[in-house]
Amino acid sequence: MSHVADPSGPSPEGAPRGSAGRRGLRLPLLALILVELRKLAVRPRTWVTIGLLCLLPSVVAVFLAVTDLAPRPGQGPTFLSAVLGNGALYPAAALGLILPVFLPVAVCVVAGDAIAGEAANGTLRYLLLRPVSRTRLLVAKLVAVLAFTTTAVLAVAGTAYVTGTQLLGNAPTELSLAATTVSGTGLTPEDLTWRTVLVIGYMSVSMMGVAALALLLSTLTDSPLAAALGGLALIVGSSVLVGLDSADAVRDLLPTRYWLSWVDLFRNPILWTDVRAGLIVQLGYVVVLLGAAWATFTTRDITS
Amino acid sequence: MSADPVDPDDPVDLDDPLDLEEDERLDASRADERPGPPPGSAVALRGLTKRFGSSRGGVTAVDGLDLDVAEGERFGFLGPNGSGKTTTVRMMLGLVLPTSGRAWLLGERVPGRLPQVLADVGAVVESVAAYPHLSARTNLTLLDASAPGPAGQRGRRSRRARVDAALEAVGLDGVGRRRVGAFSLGMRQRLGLAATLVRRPRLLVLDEPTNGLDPQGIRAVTDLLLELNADGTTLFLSSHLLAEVEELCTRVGVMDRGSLAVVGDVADLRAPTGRLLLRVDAPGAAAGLLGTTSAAARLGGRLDVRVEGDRLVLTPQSASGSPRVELSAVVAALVGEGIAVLEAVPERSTLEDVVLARTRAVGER
Repeated sequence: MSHVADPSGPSPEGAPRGSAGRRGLRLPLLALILVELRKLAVRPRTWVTIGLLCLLPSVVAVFLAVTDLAPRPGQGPTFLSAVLGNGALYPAAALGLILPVFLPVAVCVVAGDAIAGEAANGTLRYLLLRPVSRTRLLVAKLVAVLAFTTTAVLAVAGTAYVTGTQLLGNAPTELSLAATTVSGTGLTPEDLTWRTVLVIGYMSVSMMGVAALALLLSTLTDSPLAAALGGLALIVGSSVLVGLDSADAVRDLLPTRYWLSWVDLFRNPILWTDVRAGLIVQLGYVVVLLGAAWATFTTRDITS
Repeated sequence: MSADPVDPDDPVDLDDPLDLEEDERLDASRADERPGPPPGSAVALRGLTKRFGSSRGGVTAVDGLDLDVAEGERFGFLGPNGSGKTTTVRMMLGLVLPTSGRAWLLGERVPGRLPQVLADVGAVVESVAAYPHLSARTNLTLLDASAPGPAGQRGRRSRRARVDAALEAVGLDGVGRRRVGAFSLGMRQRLGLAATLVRRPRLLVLDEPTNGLDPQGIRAVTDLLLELNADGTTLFLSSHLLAEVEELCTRVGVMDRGSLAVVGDVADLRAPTGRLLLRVDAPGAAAGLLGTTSAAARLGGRLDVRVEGDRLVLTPQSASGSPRVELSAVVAALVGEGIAVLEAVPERSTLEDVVLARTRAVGER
């Protein structure tokens, strides 16, 4: 080893010396992100969660196909009445099924586990003993959580497309049985495709506020369970307040307020007002909560 | 990238009058009487203090600690539970932020320049932790993959080679593909050591590295650490296991209630107690012989003799001006009377004696 004799010696001013000071700098954040993604990918829980998320819409599809008994328009989960006519509408309907409860639960579990899970496992201190700043670790964790959310949404949309087109109505594309919007007008297959893509994007963004919240809680506690349940409790609380008329004053600022506005993407013409408001609200939560998460995590004593 | 002549982290020229931050820092260090780390410093702590909790109900875990460990040393950091050892190690490594005071690792200020300095530091803090559902190799690979390897060893193949070499160095090469969840305590301990070796550290900070190992394992790990130290790696061992420290360290510091009660070379701390220990074939006869006044005259001093089994413990009676009783004279006297001396040594205080004498356990006040 060449380091035995170092004639330059350390400098009291903290000057970097040669390779020692230089090494570990400018490490690509990408490498850190890839490590976090790989950790998420090799964890069985990740895939079990996504599998369960896909299972619910599939079960619903089977029931619909067997009984041919959809909720009447205006009742039951959004859109389910339409999918009997056209299975290609099912991805959007399936996302509507998991959006209010199951998707936030999954996101809370993964995001709540991000830092607190490492702390509980004792590995957090070893992650921080690498030549990596805490900020970068937090960013890598956030990217991993968002990747999980997007993967889950895409997986649900994908399975729903398969089950929808196989089990439910599969109208010939150009014919009169083509999909209709909520407003009752017809949809071309291209229209349907890009609107579904918009829904996938909007739902992923809607989950960002939840993810940021659970991540913040995850930096505050060493218990992944507390972080996940805390995030979930606040989401449930928000949903309760959204439905409460006397909470009208704060309603538009609640994180779940515009979640269901994805339906507006299936109106003709698309009703952008609430979608835009929803995006702005989520962005606000993400900025504030992530800022708080960063502030706590970079100044916290790691005693786990 | 390596040809890049400008390092953005270079300190700004000290003569630059516009660099206020640098000037302020120099002023601050002048105000603080204590000098920074000497050249060749591995660990330097100046007035390091940590208070946990509020200022009223808080606990001072570490109180104004000063410590210097030079590069290439083998330093043992001792102290009872709750003496502030772990908090100090965590502050050194940037896990816990000091309330006041300053710290340097390998001459670099921490926690400010941690990302730069940690590439050269390997550490096990308290217990070893790993992802139980992953193999030993995957654990080490993931831990290493988040930062570029040493210059010229950045590729995936080089990383695999370094991981394999680290596993082999601690004797885990046969089980590298096994899930860590199925590892025994000793195997985990070895894995933790392997994790610190993937990057060939200049400073190793370890917590009881031989805890949980079988005798062969203790031997192997001790040899490995001594070998690394011979190559220039500084060892900083925080431990309760005094035998481990006596075997591995040349200098120790003993923590007691947040500050260092003792710092010194192991050889100095283990000073002779003045008592002599003998093992003889006829303890009774030997005791009778040595206790007499005539023997005292011949040996140059009175001896208090105690028989413990087949051993004799001789305590010279301190009469002012009397010369010291020589062990060789005692042995000669016994042999002259036909008593076989199987073993004869001057007693030395053990590290345990030093630690027990200078520290108090939690709760004792």
